[in-house]
Amino acid sequence: MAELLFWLMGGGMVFFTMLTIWSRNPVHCTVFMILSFAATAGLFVMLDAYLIAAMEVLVYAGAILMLFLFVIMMIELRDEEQEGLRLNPLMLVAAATFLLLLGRAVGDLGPVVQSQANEMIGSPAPLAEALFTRFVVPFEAVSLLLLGAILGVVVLNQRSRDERASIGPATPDAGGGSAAPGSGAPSVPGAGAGAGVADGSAS
Amino acid sequence: MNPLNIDTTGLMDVFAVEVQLGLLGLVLIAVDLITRKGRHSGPATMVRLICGLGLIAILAATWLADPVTDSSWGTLDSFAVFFKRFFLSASLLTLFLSGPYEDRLMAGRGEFPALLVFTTCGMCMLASVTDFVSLFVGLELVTVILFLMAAWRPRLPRSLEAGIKFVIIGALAATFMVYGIAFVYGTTGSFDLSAVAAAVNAPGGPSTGLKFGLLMILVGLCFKIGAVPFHVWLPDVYQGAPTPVTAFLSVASKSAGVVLFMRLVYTVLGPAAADWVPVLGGLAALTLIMGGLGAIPQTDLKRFLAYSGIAHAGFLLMALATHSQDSASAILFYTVTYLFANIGAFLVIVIVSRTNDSSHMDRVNGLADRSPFLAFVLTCSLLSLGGVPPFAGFFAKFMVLRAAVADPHLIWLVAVSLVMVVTSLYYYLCVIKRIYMRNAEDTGVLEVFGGTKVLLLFCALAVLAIGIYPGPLETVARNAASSLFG
Repeated sequence: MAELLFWLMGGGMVFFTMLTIWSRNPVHCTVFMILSFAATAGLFVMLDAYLIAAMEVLVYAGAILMLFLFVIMMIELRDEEQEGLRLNPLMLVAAATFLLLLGRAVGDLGPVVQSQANEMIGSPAPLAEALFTRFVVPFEAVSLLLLGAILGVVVLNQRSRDERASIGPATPDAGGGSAAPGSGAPSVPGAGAGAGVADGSAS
Repeated sequence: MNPLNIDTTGLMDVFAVEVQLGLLGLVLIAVDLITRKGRHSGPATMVRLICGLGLIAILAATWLADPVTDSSWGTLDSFAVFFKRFFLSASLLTLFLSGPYEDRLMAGRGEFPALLVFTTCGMCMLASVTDFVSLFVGLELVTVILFLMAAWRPRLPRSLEAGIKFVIIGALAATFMVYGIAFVYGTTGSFDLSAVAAAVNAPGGPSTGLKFGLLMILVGLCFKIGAVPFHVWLPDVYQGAPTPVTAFLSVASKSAGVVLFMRLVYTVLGPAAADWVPVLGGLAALTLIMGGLGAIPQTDLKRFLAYSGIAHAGFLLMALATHSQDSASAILFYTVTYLFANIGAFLVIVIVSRTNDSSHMDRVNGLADRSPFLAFVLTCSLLSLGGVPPFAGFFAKFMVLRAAVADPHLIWLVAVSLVMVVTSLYYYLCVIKRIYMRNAEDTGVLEVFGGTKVLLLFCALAVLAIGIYPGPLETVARNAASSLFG
């Protein structure tokens, strides 16, 4: 039963991730990505890592991907920009090499180390203790990272607002009109990456 | 005081520089808030002044601290201290370098030094890490803030493009890195570099899973230093990013990759590094060839320096493949010479691109007539990058080659690198020819102001002085490298 669930969750994760890559419509991509994260959360539940599973759903599927959806809605992609993945022979070579290496790696994992204290990772207290003791240095580094990211994003966005104000609302199709949403877009993935990293190391 | 019952011995000693940098960053934000008038800030003189003084004070304080090597939090061996000083100096030079550039920034003038300090903090942390969690977080602290700094002029499409490309490539590199760390943790059960080193050198050899994990981590770092085939982002990002950021990327961000590469190759792989010589040597050869040939058709100075940087990454990889104490000190020597040559070159680019904000190579045509001083500095920098005696770059290349010749397996790589050194001389000389033999498009005399002039002179003299009298720096590099082999 557990094995069946594992293959269901793992298979679903791979399947939905592939769909994320292949879809042409960015909204579909995002929805598939949410499903992929849900499957990942399922895998975490099977590993008794309930807290991480909850974070996966709340933070990634809930918060970050909602932001992605908002951004996609805001930048209003035109049809010709909705390009799917175009295959290139080099990509196939790279993917095949990677899969080959991965196959060999999984084939020989060596003396598999049993995770210590598997029953503890499900609850917040041991995680919090680890964060504030053993991993306090990276934890504080993440706080600097987030502060820097916020500061930078505010600066980048403030500038585009100034530009919009200086160009005026009358010329939405001129350089300013297309530059403003454009400059809004990179700042959001920047923040997303920052937040993603923070959550990744925090959990 | 300590309810969590944890041994914090050495924590504040190992990470003193990082704590000071973090505080300095916060102070800079506060000073910027207090001194700014309205939303369109003028020159952020106060912030820059405090930032410069703070960095100098932190740099000076590194000479007062004692080495710490027995702490579980990290290490402050002479190698870490060397790189902390290096990153602080690079940050300080970048701060000065961004001075003449400041009037091209529409906004974010006051925030720029704060972000510079934060990313420097991440780099200093990387010099001290002894576990993979801190390593990854430190690397992300460096890269995420550099993403933002690369897009610091979003009004320019090319700066925006640089930022977006950097984000995507940086995310890809981080993915490889995390994937590798997961495999390393899965096969060894530990994040500690020393525990992983023990597993790598265990009798019977490491498992394929562990090797795969280490390979993925090295791939992530190859993105960072711009090794082929993970170099594609470099020219675009270097060209598009604001020039001070490009200078910082080429010097400090690359060295942040180098410091981790050295930790991993020299201490984690240790004796087992012999198995990795084909991988590192092959990457080095590809990188040398790609960097050397790619630079020839370039017409943009920053793109040109990006390809030159790829070729230099090849040299560093060659030294890493050699795996001896000589090669380790050669890398340290190399990074310092590269720092001065590159900062000098980029500062000249900032000045010559002042009028029309373009870094096309035509901007240096006839530079010798417009400003003999700038022509002299750029010539010194380029000749040093090319490895011409008596400039510092010659000794750097010489040390790497001397270390590599000692390894009979690497003779082919030495041959490749010698061919590429000669090729690279060709394109460095092409730029120098533009400086002295072509006629300038605009003949206006380029003025260089006080502080900038001092900095340019300092870079040029440093490149010359290290080249003529390399002894002291070589001793410093040798001492720093020796702690890796403890």
